[in-house]
Parts: sequence; C-alpha cells; structure tokens
Amino acid sequence: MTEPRLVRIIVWREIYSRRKAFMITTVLLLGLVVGGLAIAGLASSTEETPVISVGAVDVDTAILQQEIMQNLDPETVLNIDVYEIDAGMAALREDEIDALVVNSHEVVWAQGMPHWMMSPITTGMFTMNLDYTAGELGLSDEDLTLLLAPINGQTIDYEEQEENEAEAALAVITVILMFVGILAYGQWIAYGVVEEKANRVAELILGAVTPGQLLLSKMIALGGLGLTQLVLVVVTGLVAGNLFLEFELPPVATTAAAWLIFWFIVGYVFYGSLYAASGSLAADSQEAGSFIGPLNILPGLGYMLGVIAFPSGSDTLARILSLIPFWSPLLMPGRIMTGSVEPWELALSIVLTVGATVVAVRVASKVYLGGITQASQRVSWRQAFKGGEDLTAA
Amino acid sequence: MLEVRGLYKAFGEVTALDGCSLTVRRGQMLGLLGPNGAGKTTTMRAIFGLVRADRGEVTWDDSPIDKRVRRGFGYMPEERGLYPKLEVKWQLVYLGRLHGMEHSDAAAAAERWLEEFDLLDRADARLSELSHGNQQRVQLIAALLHKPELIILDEPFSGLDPIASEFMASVLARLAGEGAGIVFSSHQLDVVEDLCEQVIIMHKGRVVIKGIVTELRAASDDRYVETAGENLSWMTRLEGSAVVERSDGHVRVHVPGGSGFADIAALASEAGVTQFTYEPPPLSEVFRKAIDG
Repeated sequence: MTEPRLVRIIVWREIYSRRKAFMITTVLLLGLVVGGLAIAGLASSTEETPVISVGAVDVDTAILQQEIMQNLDPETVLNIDVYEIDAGMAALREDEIDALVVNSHEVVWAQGMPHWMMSPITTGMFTMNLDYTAGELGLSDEDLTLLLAPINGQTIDYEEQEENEAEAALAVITVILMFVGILAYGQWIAYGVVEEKANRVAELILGAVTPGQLLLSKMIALGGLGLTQLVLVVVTGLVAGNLFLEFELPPVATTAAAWLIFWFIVGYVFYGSLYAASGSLAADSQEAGSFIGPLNILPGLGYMLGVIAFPSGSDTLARILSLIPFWSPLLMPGRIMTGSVEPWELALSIVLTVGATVVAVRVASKVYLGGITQASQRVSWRQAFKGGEDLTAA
Repeated sequence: MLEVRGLYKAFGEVTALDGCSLTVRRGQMLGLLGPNGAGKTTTMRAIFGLVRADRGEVTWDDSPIDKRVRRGFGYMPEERGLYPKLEVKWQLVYLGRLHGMEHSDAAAAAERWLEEFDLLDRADARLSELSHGNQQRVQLIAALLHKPELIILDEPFSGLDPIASEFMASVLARLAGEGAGIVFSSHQLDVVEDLCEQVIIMHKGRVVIKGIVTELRAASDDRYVETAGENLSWMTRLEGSAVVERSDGHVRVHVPGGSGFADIAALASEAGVTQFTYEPPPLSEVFRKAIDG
C-alpha cells in the first residue's frame, strides 16, 4: 500500500469526524462577518449630513459661500443668511446660527462651536479679503503669487490618511484571523491527539502507519479545514464589505492576501506541531488543559501586541516582534498589509520562521511519538522526547 | 513464526522485562499468564512495536518486524481503543483500509463479522451507544477484520459474560485453525486451560514456566484423587494424603507425587471402589506455585 494512500485515508477520517463542528463554526463565523458589516453599513447610512449655519453682516454672501465651501467636505451643507448686527447676535444667542461674520474681518462664534467648523470659515474669510485687497491695489495674479510665495502651505491629504487607517484596520483584522485560526485549529489538533491517546486508538493505528504519517495526516486535514474557513471568511468579508460599506481595498491588499495564506500555513505548521506534542503529554482530556493552556500564551501575546501596535502606528514594536518566529506568522501579514515591510525583513522572517518550524516539527514528532504511546500516562516533554527517540531508533 | 528472544526492558528503576523469550507458530494459540505487573502487556506492546526493548529481538519468519509486516498483525489493547463518537461500521472500514484493504473489501468484511457477532443492526450506531460487551466485540472485529497472520490480544475476555467469553473463545479457536498465530493474556485460567495448547507463566518480567498445558500439569509432583460414595475411608490410608474438599459423600484428596496410580488403584480395589479420578493439579495451582516460587 502506498504511503500517500494511508495519509489520504487518515485525512478523510479527520475531516469526517469534524464535519459537523466545521460546518457549524463556519456558518457562525460567516454570519458574524456578514451581520457585523451589515450593521456597520446600516449605521453609516443613517449618519446625519453636517450642516453649518452662518449669519452675515455687511458681507457679499455669494463670495463668502464660495470661499468657505472650498474648505469644506462637499457633503456639508452651508447656509448663509443676511442679518443686521443686533439680530445676528440674537440669533447666535438663540443657537439659530453657528457663527456671525461681520464686515468680512470679524467673526463671532456660537458657544461650543467645533473646531472643524471654525477653520473653513476663517480660511474662507481670509482668502475672500485677500482677493478683494489684491483687486483694490491692482495686483495681478503673479504679484499675488510672489507675495504669498514665502508661505509654504500644505493641505492634509485626507485620502492618504484614510488609506492608512484602512490598512491599519485590515492589519488588525489579519492578526485576529491568524490568532483565531492558529488557536482554534491548533487546539483541535491537541484535543484530537489526547482523544486518540486516551482511548488507545493511536496504538491500533500505529500498527499500520508511522507516527509521522499520523501526525502529518492530522495536520493536513485540520490545516485544510482552517485554510478553507480562512478563505471563506476573507472572501465573504470583502464581498459583504463592498456591498454594505462600499469600501475600496488598499492597493496592497491582494498581495497581502497571498502572504496571509502563506503565513497561515507556516504558522499553522509551527504551532500545530507544538499543539500535537503538548496534547500527547496528557493522560486524558481532563488534564489536557494544563498542557495546552501554557502554549496558548505564545500566539495570545502576538495577538495582543498586534492589536496594540497596528492602530497606534507603533511600527518599531511590530517590526521587532514580527522577526521572531513565534510571532512572525501573526504580525508579518499585518505589516505587509500596512506596506511597511522592507524586503530584507520579509526574507529574514521567512528564513527564521521556516527554520524554526523545521526544528519544531522534528522535536514535536518525537515528543508526539513518545507521548502518544504512553497510554493513560501523563509524561513530561523530556520523557516523551526520549521515548520518541527510542522508538524512532527501534 | 513469531520469535521473541531475550527481551529486556526497564522503566527507570523498574524492570518490566527480564530476558523474556517465547515462540508462536502459525495456527498456534499461546496464553500469557501472570499476576499484574508480570510483563505480559509490555511483551505484547514490544511485539507490536509500541515499546522498544532495551535488549533482545522480536522476529517474524526470521526477519525483524517492520511497518509493512506489522500491518499484517491484529492487535487488541487492554484498555479498548476505538472512537466512541464514530459509527461502528465506519471505523471498522477505516481500520481495515489502514491495514491495506480496499474500501469494498473492508466494508464486506465488516458486515460479515458484524453479522457473525450479531451486531449488524448496530452497524450505523455510534460505538458509545453500544453496551460494554458489544463494544468489546467490535474491538475484537477491529483486530481480526484484515485477516491477520498474527493476532495479539491483551485481556480479551475481561468484562465479558460467560456466553460472550465462550463465543469469543470459539472464534479464536477457529482463527487458529485457519492458520493464524494467536497470543493473548488472561487472568481467567480456566479459559486459557480450555483454549490454549501452550501457555507461558510470567512473573517479574521473566518467563517462569512455559510449555504445553497438559505437560505442565503432568510435570507437577502433586496429584488429586476424587471419588464419591459411602466408603471413603480407604483414601485416608494413602501416605501423606490430605482432604482438600468434602461434601455429601464426595471427597477430594491431595496426594503427594510419591503415590503412583498403581498404589491408589490397589487400595481402591481393596475397598471395593470401582470409580475414582486421579489427576494432576489444575493450571491455576501450577500458576500459583510458579508465582510463589
């Protein structure tokens, strides 16, 4: 019998025995993604359009309207009404208007006037006065340009800022996806190993296959399920996000999605082998938590640091941690998403993580073999490793 | 033929196997006896490759046992090992396929065995839904499904009612008759005595006695004479005899090895007794003496 056939048979059993749990968790996850985005879309569609009401005393309202609007979001509604000075002040006190512009040199604000409303109004008044004075003095556009030349003004690129925010949000989402995927499927592996050890099925199976084949099959099966779920969640999230929120993906998103899959596979193999080894140490599922729990701290730490680092823009923290194999799979996809990875950093993290994964798989295979053949017994990492080495040499 | 030669295994300070050797031919059934901790399970696990001996070797047809050869063995662990939440037939087919069977062959064999064990109507039930005895039957089917050349069974009769034990014994006898080598451990000495031609008694990791059951019994110096009737006094005239059982005109006497059958027959004849039994000790006594040293 060919070895790939044995692996296929075990892979199919792993999938068959978890088919219901997989379907239920997938439906729940997709429901959460679609539901969350639908609610977010609904909330954004019901936001009120901002309205600014300005009173004008002895001002050309048409020019003022034009100059202020140049500094406002096009969706903002600007109402300008003409007042006498006393009536205008009264309207301010009554909160009927947000600001009263007098003679284009003076402005009185209503109490609690937000800053985002003040700046466009004063800037609009300034440019209006500038144009008027230049005209009175007979200055040409060139003169005006020369006069204004020393001032090197710069306008905030809102689009770029929004893009950065979107990338940071996607980076956090990748950290969450990687963490949930590695933790959930890693624990499936661990508890599957404990079950097979506790009920001694492993002893029957090891009569027909090698421990390496058994471990590999288990990891292929559960990794396949995890990857399928990840792709489904990502694709559904993109489609639903486009539908409900009409967001546009950052340009780097497609490349980052490919890297996400790569890092999921590497991270899954790295952590999955360690989860399998830790599961094989427990005597039964009741005490499995004491072996598996400490291992959860590692991806948990990466998750917490990623969630803190990306929104705050703390690139140094994410940068250092993403080069360490324990956390590269969790943080590097997020960094790729934010476009902040140097090629050498990516290459180094791949080399280090793949190298660490090879070592982890080798050690874990021996621990797994040594642990799973000690039926009904709790064993230490050291005992299991030694037992695995003995059986491998046999 | 299975040959185990000089197996030695220590777990830390504890010596589990201390030079254990045994042989099982095709068609032979070998019973492994011994108190708890004697090394029976460790021996069987070493044969199946689940324990690596520190010294000694295990061969099948004069060759070391590799994975391919081991796929042709059947194994039933002491604490039963199957998936509680999977359907009975599904997991039998799964295990059969792992041992090299095609899906259709494994399915047909599973149905055949389930029918023989009167479990066909539970083929699609989860294992955990079956009674303990029926789970044990399924466990045995899992060890036999792929028609193994060597069957290793750790305490296959424990927890079975007498009818189930008898049925399992008949199945094993049939498989041995069909050419399979069978090694099994048991605490039920009567079953072993009835079923096995050859036994091994282990103690503290060593084989203390091995051989054919009838020969082991006959090799003992002790004999038992048993008779019934009104005239029982003649038995007490046997030198060194001791009554071990007496009830309602029935008596069983232990006689030392020095008293041969001819002497006893002569005494019985003098007393006018025409019917009595003269037999070596049962296997349980041979076992006890071997363990007590």
